[in-house]
Amino acid sequence: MSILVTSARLRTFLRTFLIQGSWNYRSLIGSGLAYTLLPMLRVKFRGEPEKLNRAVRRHLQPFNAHPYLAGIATGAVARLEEEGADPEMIGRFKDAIRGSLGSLGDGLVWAGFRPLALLLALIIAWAGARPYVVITVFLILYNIGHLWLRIWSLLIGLEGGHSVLERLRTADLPSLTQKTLAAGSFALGGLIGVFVVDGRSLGAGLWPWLFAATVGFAVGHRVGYAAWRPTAVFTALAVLVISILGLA
Amino acid sequence: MVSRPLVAGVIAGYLAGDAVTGLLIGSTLELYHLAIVPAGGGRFPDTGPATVVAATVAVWTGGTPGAIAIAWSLGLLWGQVGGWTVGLQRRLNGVILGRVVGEGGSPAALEVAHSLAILSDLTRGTFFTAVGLLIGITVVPSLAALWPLELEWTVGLILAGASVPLGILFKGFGGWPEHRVLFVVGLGAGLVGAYLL
Repeated sequence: MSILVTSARLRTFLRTFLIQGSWNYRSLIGSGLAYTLLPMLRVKFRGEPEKLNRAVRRHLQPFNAHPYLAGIATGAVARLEEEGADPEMIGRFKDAIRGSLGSLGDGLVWAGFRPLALLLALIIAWAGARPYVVITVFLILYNIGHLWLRIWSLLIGLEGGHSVLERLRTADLPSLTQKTLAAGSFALGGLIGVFVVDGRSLGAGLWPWLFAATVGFAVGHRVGYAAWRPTAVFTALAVLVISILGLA
Repeated sequence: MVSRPLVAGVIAGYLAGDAVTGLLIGSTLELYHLAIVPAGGGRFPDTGPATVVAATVAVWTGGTPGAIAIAWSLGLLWGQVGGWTVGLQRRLNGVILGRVVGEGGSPAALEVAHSLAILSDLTRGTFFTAVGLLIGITVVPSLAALWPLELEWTVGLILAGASVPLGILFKGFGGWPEHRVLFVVGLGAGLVGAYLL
């Protein structure tokens, strides 16, 4: 029986949502990948428990990928198992694909699409929308992209098998990432515009506040991520100190 | 995605009795966490439980400017502690997999280990949130009573601090060299749109 039967595909797809469930420093999401592949491996090795155990052991090796794009590896590996590919070749394939799936997903989703969806929700939040409207807008917007990416990933993996990297190149995710980053820049400008108009409630304090915020923005832009933790800790501690000292 | 500060803040605020305060806490914490790209095995703040703590404590302690400010800063710091507990959880996951699955590779053992890892993370999150709530309701009321600023200035202070993470975010988008035109056009649109609303 083919491991690509619909029920096995569906169970595998649902398991991709849990692929990071046992994230650990030894195999990263390797155990999650093996867990996700299990429904298909069980069909492939039905009645051959020792072969199934060996396949699970092979897939417990270290692996990493962005969780939304890990479906590409899941689908492609399932396809290779279905075709009876050499286990060593499957291992090399996994090693070859993991870097791309990590960096492409991090750029597209974590650095681009997620902040963009959040910025749009924050704009309507600071423009005065009701709380449930804000989170509904975010969850709908985000999940359109999120679910599409998960479904697409598994499907092109299953269809592509060993040639999935070629399909990935055709999809041109870097170009989509660039568009997302550009849209994010526009949305970030929009949110800051809303903040500035809201800042009128500070009265005469508006201009010093704007000056401080502009300097902060420039510092963040100049220094980059290294400034994040010091800023977060400093701001939190500043609030506590102001309270303790009762500074007006 | 439910663990994002924006969403967790509104839900926690609603459950505690004030979704608007939850939105204020969640959206301001979100501004600080937007720039974080959780790539690889690094340590990143655990935003969901920290936001639940901040929003719930802010509402339970009266939703005053002081309660909001202190609960918010507690949330920001608690998220840092949470990131450390996530690291411990990941070590524990390795131990669980080693003990339960071992070298055998049994599918049933793998499913048990994976489920145990998820369950232990759920337990960690629940315990971590409960401890944060306990600290919050103990500490926040006394400090909130000393808070000297009105709500506008409280939010202004938090937003001024958020300007640094927003600058980091812009750099991550490509920054001034690549996207200055779109950023400035967006800024103009935001100014005009908010002014007209």
